[in-house]
Amino acid sequence: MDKDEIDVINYLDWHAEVNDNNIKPFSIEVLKKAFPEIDEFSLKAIESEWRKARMRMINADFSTFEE
Amino acid sequence: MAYHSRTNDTRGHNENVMANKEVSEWKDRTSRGKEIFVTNTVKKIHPVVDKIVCRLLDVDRIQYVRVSQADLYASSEITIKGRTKTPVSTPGHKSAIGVHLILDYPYNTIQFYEITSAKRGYGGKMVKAVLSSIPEGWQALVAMDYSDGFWDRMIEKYDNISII
Repeated sequence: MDKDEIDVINYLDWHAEVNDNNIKPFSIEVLKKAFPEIDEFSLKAIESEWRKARMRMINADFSTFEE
Repeated sequence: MAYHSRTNDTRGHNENVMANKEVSEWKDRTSRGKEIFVTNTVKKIHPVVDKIVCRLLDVDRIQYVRVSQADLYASSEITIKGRTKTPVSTPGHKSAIGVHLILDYPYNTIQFYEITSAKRGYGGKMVKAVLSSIPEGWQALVAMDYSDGFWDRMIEKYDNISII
């Protein structure tokens, strides 16, 4: 991950809405406004990776994590 | 002009060689028979990364570590895509024990991006390894906590972790 990607991930984390364990779709137009220096294709790719990772964390089973 | 450019190229090359040597020495010193992969873009190992890697490698199941400019992966397993070996940290993985951290140096923060523990107790051990390595003034972050209490218990145990 590079610095741009981390900035987008942080932005998504702060602005995402989660309903019933589902992340509400995020407008690419909003992302484009927040990060005009990053092209749309890259923003979509970062958002998609972030969504997948976050959904995996949301659905993760933490019950075995502790002794 | 040609002379200057050649001189600069040589200096740049030498700096790279020195940096590679430094990283390579760090890997030899730290790995203790386990495998550490460092991406070419990393020229110097940050002291916080050094400490986290050492403590994560103390966790017996952790066999592989990958350090890039902004990420740190550690796991009992790796996936190989092309020439890239990435330790597995996918939550819910059937056999892996691993963690993926995002290193945000400008803000002195470390984010738990992904974590998985196929064996009871290892999630807590990895969190302890990371949180006990973070110096004063740094903090660890967890985004979107849906762990049903795991991170709440970690917050009770450690004072340098927050949920966003």
